[in-house]
Amino acid sequence: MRRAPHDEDRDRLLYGALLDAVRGLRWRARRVSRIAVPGIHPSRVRGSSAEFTEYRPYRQGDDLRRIDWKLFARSDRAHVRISEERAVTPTYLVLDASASMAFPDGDGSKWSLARQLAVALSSVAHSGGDPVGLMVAGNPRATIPPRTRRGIVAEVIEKVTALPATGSSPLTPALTVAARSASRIAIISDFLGDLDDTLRVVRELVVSGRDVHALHIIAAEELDPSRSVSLVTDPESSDVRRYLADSVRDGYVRAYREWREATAARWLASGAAYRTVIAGEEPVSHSVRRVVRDEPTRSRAG
Amino acid sequence: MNFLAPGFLVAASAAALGVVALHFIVTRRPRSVVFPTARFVPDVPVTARARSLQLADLVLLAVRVLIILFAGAALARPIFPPQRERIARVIAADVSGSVADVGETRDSVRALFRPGDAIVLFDTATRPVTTPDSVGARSRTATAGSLSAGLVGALRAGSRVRDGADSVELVVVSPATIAEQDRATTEIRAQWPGRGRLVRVSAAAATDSTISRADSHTAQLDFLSAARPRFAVLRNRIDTSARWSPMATSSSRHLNAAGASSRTRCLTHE
Repeated sequence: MRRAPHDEDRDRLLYGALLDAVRGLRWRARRVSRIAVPGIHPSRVRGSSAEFTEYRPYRQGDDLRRIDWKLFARSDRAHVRISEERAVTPTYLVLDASASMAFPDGDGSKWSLARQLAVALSSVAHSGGDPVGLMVAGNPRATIPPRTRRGIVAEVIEKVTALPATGSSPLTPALTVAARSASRIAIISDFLGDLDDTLRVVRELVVSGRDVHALHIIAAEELDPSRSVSLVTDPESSDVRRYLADSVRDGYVRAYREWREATAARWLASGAAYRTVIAGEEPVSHSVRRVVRDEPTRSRAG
Repeated sequence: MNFLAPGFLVAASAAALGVVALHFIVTRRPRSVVFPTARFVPDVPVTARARSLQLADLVLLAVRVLIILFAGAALARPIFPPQRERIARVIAADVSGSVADVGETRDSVRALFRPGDAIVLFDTATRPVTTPDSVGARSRTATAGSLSAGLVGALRAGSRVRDGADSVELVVVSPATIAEQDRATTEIRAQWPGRGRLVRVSAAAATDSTISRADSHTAQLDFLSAARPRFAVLRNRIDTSARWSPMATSSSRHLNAAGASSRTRCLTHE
């Protein structure tokens, strides 16, 4: 669907201000990279760069050019000079575009916040020299493979603004595809879909050395629903229709808080970095800073 | 205000009562909203306290009832009859030299006058006035007046007051002497479409001196003969072919052409 010109102008202003706000941020990898391509993140690959780390006794098969001949002359033993390498961290942003993200209506929706987070994180990762890709888990699924080219952030903006949040697509298939070509995966979702399967895949990814970030998007209306009597319906499951009234409101608040606490505990136990972001509570750039600086979760969401 | 089809008004009133009843009886269902975390709402039967009446509800109710009532009133075809007097009068008062005492004419006009009536003073010419007090305010001519001129002025005044009344009555306050009549008098008076009557006042002796009593009586009958069937005259003598009917008049005493005093009666030709 073609978007109206004034919508494009509004997005350009919105994302332009956001990109200005996150300029200069660096998103350090939480785990060493296995990629040999030079970058800014610590790498498991030992090489011959100027950043000396240690000596290791020569073993058969080592490159003779890496033997420290001065040390050999002093000690009469052959040692290989080991230096620490820096590598890039290919980053995949997995964006949940299910119908539950389109709540509430308007610019203050979870979907709007998730799109801004995706754009900002892609810009931060790209400015660190990392390849950035986007995977929109929606219907249909949209993909931008991780690239370091200059216009990649603009591609991300174009992609996320063109797609609506609809349907009930699971995160797991998108996550599996993203894991094939990324060392760092940031999942932006409300985790109201296939949470169990997602956590199972995430545990496997963490074990395999991937750096996984989970950004839990929450709407303020979900934390503090209206006190008027209403028949609430799950947008992804029409079978769930409940009456929300004052008499059951406390029960809802308690159940939702317990679920969020349990979800946070499960994410942290999986080894991923878990953050909650509440729509409208703080500027998006502040949320991005908390994510890239590995700061703890805000207290309101528990 | 009257209604040509009042049944619609009754039906609209009944419908409005029904709307009022439904407004208080109807059970409201809660609005349905999308809520992604609906699964965390306890799945238990919900009892919500009945909402108390709010101002918005009462305004809505009033608007609904008014719409129905206005629609019913419109279908009932209301009519608004115009505000009209039943009878207006054009009083042609003779202030010429034929009148013995203008004060008598003024008294007669004052007694006959009602708000909305037109007064035309005439001698040889006509002059419309608004109040009976204007009768005799000016100096009058010594010569006999012209009934034809007075009747023409009355016709003109009648065209002005006819829109405000169902019918217009012509009252001529004059001695109606022969000297005041000419060949056009009967023709002009025949053009008066409504009811008319003559209130006779005393004639000046000088003017009427050349006229015998019989001539005077004949002149009055000539004056009446051109009238429409409902033309009436107030006088002290009656024609034997006419039927008397008592009629209240303003002046209890009038003088005939010979100056004799008598009670006033109303004569109607039928």
